[in-house]
Amino acid sequence: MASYLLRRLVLTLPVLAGIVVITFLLTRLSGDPTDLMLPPNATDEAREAFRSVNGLDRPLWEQFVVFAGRALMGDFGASLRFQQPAMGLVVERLPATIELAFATMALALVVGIPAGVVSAYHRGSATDTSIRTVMLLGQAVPSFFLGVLGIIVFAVWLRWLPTGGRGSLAQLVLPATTLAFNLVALIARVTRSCMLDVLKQDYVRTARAKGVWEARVVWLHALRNAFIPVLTVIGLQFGLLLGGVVVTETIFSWPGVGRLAIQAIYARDFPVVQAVVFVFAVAFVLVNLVVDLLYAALDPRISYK
Amino acid sequence: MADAALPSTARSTPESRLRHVVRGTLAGWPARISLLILALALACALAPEWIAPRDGYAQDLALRLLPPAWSEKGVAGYWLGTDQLGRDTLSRIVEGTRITLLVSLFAVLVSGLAGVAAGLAAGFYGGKIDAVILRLIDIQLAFPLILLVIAVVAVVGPSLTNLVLVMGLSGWPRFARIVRGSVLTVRHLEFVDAARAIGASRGRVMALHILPNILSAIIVYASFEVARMILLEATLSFLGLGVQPPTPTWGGMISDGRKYLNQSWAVSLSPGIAIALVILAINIFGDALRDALDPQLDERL
Amino acid sequence: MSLARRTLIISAAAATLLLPVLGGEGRAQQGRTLTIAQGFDPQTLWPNGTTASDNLNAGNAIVEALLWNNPATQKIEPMLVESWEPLTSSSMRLHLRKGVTFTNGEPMNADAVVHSFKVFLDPKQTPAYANYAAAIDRVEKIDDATVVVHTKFPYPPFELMLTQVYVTPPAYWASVGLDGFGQKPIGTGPFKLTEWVKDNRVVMDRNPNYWGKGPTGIDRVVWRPVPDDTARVAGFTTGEFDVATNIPIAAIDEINAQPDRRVIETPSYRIFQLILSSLEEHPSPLKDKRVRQAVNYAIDKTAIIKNLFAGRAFALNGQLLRKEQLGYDPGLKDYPYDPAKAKALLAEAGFPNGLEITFKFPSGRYAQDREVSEAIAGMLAKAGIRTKMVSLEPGEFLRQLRNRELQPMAYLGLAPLDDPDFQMAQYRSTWRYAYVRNADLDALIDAGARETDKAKRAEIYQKISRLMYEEVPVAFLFGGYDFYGVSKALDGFVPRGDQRFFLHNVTLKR
Repeated sequence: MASYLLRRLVLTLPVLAGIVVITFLLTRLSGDPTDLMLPPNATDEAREAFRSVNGLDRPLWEQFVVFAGRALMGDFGASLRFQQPAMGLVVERLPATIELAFATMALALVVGIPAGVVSAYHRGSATDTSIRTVMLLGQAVPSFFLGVLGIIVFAVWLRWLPTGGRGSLAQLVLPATTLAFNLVALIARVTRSCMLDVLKQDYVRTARAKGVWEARVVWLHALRNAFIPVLTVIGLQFGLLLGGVVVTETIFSWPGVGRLAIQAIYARDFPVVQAVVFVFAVAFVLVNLVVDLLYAALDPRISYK
Repeated sequence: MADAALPSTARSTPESRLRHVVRGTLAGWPARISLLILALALACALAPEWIAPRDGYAQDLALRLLPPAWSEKGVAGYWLGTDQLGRDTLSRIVEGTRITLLVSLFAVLVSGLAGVAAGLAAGFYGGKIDAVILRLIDIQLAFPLILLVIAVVAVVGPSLTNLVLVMGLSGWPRFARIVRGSVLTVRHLEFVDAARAIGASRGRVMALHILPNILSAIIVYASFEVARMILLEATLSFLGLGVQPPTPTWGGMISDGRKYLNQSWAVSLSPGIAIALVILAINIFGDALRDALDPQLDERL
Repeated sequence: MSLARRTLIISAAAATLLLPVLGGEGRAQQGRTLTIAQGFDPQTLWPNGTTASDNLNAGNAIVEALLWNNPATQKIEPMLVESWEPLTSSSMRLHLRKGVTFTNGEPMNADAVVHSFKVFLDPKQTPAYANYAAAIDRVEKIDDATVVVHTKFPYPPFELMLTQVYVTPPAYWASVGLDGFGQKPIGTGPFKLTEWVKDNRVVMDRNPNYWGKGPTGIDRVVWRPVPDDTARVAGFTTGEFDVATNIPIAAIDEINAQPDRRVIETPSYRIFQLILSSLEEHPSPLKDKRVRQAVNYAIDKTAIIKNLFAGRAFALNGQLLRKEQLGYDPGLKDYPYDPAKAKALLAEAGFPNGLEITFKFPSGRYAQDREVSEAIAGMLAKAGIRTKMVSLEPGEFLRQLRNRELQPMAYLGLAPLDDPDFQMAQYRSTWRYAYVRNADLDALIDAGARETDKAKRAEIYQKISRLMYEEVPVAFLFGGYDFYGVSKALDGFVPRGDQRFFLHNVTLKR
């Protein structure tokens, strides 16, 4: 177990290194940020001063060496816009994004798994068809449109929920629901297919034959087996979820990392972009590692040497 | 020959297999309706000028944001009303089909080709090549997609070709994973070993023996990816990085129209319905195709 | 009962139970709290840290400047400087307000002002204002309440420059430094910082020792960053915000229809134009003056203003200066909409069958930038100028602008400060993003920048306007408006054309 963990962690190193290098190159390719940071009438002297303070006047390879050296220590330099450590800005906003991601995930599971189970159980019936259609529709609407619609309906017309911001539970509902929509469809889909397999298995039939209450059979036996594929898909979709966070956080003025990221990209705030991508990548790697480890916990047949 | 090596359908000829698949796919009415929708979309994409009632590019600022023709203030001839520049919404949806489908199909083609090649190589050669490709897949998956697209489009500019390439780039790892997995399962089957034994080259084995066996998985997955790409284009339009105006795309129309929701819901809702219908159709058709091609295929695709 | 129905009923029940619990929270603060929604969270609350209006509006509630340009009177009025008089054409004596202290107890005196100028003059600390600082020679303390500012040359916008200098407490500045000050500012303003949750809210409480009258009926200001237009309008409509900036035109009528909400419309300093590059290094048909004039004839600006802006934009009269500005030429009229004339000019220039040209525009930088650009492209096409449209995300747009890559044609809105020199200097050949090179124009711009006699100065700018009308380095489009959603409970809220607004004399009646 320990050696498996170690091996997995070692394997993530080249991935993280690759991401750091690619991000560095992508950001540098997108042009000198000096003109974006200073007002148009800034003097040449001010521009030079800005460049030298931020190390932008040095050759690319030198910038990379300095950057890589610091990045090893988790220091991504100071934000060009905020003049504060970039990593600090990301960490400051991380709790908001994690909160949103967890709420989304919980919501998606709570809705998606029962939908998938019901759909599989009544395979081919009108219930199955309508659940699948609704799920597909959820997948077919762009999240920015869904978000705007949600604000208009629930905040403006019905006045049930606030339009945005973070602080109360009510403010979490709309962004999490918007973000969960795509995920629900996916989870329901996977659950349904696994359930179909599982329902055919001997032990389920045995349990039914023994007269165990139907719902208990379905939920307990079958669900446990369906959980692993669901987890796998969630792990892989995590990157997409973070992408959705960018749009959702902007619409609902949610003070998270996604919004920081998009503003940093638009402003060519290199250090922040690098720090965000790095944190997202680490999160992706960790989530997938946890998923792998959960396999073992859920399914005793899997063991790691 | 290659066809003889197909394990599951070894008994049948190609024609009867095709007929079987078609009949199987179109067995249910949802699949038939889906096919109809897709055919209509295809017709719009191929010959919009015959189908569109008006010129989707002609502006008339005096007639902007008209509601649909059937509503109280609607104007006859503008069936779904007009957009923020007084262009006919229905005609723009018809016109928009072409670029919307073109972009998403080509993006899937790019990611499919790249992903299949990488997956084949990884699964077939194994060893170091496999390890490197797996790490590349991880890098790509861990890299926030939107950030990548924004950065690349910002750097190279939002031309149609660049858009297709970048969107395609974002999808290859999933293809690669599926193909790699499938290759690993068929790689050691008898017919592959047999082909190797009689001296077939690696490339030949891959092209003639392995690829046909995993093709159904790829086709089904690709059909779902098209839907994802349509949505991605919409999201990029929302961020101002989509297809260039005045060329209409459904995503672009939703994104532009959402600012006028309180004045005219039709501007942004009608292309939204078009997207929803086509994605629904693609998914239902994809499901049916999968069931017909190979019921064993995993629905997780 | 089937599994499906049971699941459905349980979920529905859960939802019904949860919703009432959720509602009610996150509602608008009532009572004596003013909530303001802007597009972005401040990067720094030190006003001299950036020139972005969202930063300045919030920061200025805490840190105050020497003078201020009052939008209600359109005059420059006292702030921390009580009175001032010119000594020579390049020096000014400032008499500071007495008995003012910073909220940490430090006195606001000549030392504090000299210290603030020192920071202002250092391009490393204040790069955003280096252009003004470049004119200042030195600042001397006369006594505790008097300083004299010397410029290197006669400087017409002297007073305007003084509205840009914000006064900070020297001892506190020394202890926290520039970055620390931006996060936890201390000033003389009507409010002091209480809490700042990044990207979520900035909370300020009333400064009980404020030297002036200060706002009435407000104990607390909350600044909320809301980047999405729809969300900002929605939050304003539902009463979550008392003030919301940058209301889209499409939402104005709906807001005005509400009993307790209104939209304040402020003519903006932002002048919209098409760059028509005539630089040698930018080969395009636009090098020919007749083609540039044709572009001006081909655009129906009245239709754009009437339809896309619902009349809420003002026509330019063939010049870039606004009617209120020194040097405005009432004799100039805009190019009329005349597609036939445009076609004729194109033919004369050797393009009888029209021409094709790249047209760049930003997506999401200005209100309706996409729509306006598309409308313009449609009009140009009718006159035979077919455009290849290139939309740029806001960051890339700015980068290209300042690297002179926004060529040959681009949609642009510039909002220089309220002095004709700041407007015209943008077309001097040496300016970072000038897309014109004309020696006569340069000479006139230089003359205007140094002329302290108002009548003579006005004459110079009229000459510049007539030269630009003839040479058309830009297509003259329109002047924009800024729209603020303001609760009817708030009185005295007067925004300025540079998207600045002030809280020290507003009244909240609740």
